[in-house]
Amino acid sequence: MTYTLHFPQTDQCFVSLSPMVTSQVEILQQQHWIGLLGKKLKAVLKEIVAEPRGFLLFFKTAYDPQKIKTAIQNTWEQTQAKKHFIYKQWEIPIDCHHSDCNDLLDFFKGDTDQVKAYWEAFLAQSLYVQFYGFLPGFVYLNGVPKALQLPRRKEPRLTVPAGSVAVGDRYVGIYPQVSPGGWQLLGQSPIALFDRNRSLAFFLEPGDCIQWVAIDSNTFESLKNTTNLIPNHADKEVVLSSS
Amino acid sequence: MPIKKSFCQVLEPGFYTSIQDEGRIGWRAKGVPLSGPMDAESFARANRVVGNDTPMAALEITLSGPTLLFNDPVWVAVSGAEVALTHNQKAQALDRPFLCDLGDVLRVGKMTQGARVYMAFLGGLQTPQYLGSASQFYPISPAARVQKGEKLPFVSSLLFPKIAASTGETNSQSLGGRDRLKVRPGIDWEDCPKHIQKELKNGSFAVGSNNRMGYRLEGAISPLDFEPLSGIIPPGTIQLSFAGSLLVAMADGQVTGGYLRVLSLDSQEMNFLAQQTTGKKLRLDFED
Repeated sequence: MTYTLHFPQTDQCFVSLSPMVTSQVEILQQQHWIGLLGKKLKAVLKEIVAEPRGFLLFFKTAYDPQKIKTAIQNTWEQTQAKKHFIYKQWEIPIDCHHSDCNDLLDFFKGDTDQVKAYWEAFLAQSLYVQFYGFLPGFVYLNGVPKALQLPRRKEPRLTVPAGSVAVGDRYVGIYPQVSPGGWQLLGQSPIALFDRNRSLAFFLEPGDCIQWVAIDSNTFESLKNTTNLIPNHADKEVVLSSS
Repeated sequence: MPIKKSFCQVLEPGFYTSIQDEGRIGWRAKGVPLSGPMDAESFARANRVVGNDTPMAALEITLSGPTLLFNDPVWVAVSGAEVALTHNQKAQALDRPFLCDLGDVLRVGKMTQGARVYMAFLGGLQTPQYLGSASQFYPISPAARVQKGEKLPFVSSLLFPKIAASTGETNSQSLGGRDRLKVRPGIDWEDCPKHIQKELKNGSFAVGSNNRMGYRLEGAISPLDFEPLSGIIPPGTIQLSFAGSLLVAMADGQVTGGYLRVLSLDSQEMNFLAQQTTGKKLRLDFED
């Protein structure tokens, strides 16, 4: 992986990564780098935001580009030396038979065997968090195999219910709130990714792994009404193979 | 010196009035927009004029303003667009601190030039913070803007503002007198085809639909023949839509977007754009 720097504004620096960050371990590596930079530049930095093609540094005021370049290079070298990364593995409940989610039936033109086969393959597929965007708490999940990637709907829906799990091309997303949306709806999760009245918010971190747990509609309703529900999770470790 | 918690009541909210402080810094990595004032300079000036050492939660008022009834005395200042401001039906100058007392009615009329004014209170509005900011953005805050009948809390004090530091300051910004927007190359400028770069340099644009999320600049730019990936959209980013118009991300703009990030505005140019209304003609000046 190599990086180049862009300066869209005097108080911004975009670190462009080539090739794009896609695998779970690359995401963890990127997060580690961002963490080191965040500590090193704490005094001058507002925040750092990551995306698959790199990350953007927001500074409090105009910065000294030379100092920033040195900090980026030093922390990149430190990051490359790190081979072990810790992440969390989450069990996210999903109700695939929820009445709000019938896009698969439409997509497969009513062929219930194909829908069933898709659901089985989807539920067995663990995914990992790449980045947040679109809406507060909306996560882009990567690791969707080609066979499960579905194109976006031709006509976006005006309202997608909160908690909808949906696929759009290479990503799966979870809608944190009611919003318009063009992705194919696969199921409903009772987990609130953002809820101002609950302490649990934004618990997923880039690089975290997600495993689906199929639930029925009764379980969905009871979990939905549970305050401060934290899904089952465990710490895991991944090792970067030497390149 | 008597100090107590008090409020003013929103008799009429105006076209679009929201509470804004400096924004929700540190949450963009979780998909939460920055928010904060659209015209940061006018917001900061209103705060300075009223005597706040650091910018505090104020009202951002769009196109036509609210009518407020005060329940206790507090110092207030209004800065930004040209607007008729009346305090108990008497004209009140912008960029000057004035005392609103118990029973006083403050009315912000329609803007005659520009689109936004800021009403700052000595000590700042004391509305609740969500994720470290009082800036209203739904669903992070329970409402996107102030509602009719709402009580806006402040700390009432007869303490005189530091007027020595605030007098004489007036609007030095251009509200509408220029027709050029200074731009810099955006993150994806190098990925932008050469013929489109040329069209952007020579094209003329008109301000289209606009709100706190963004400003659309209508133009006739050729569509892209490829679909860009989703990426970070800092406020001030200008994206090229598939339909050939430009989308300028403003204060409440989404953290990520899926169009090509061709150009970028600095904060001064964003302040200028935030004072423009639908139909305003603009050309682009490229900074080297």
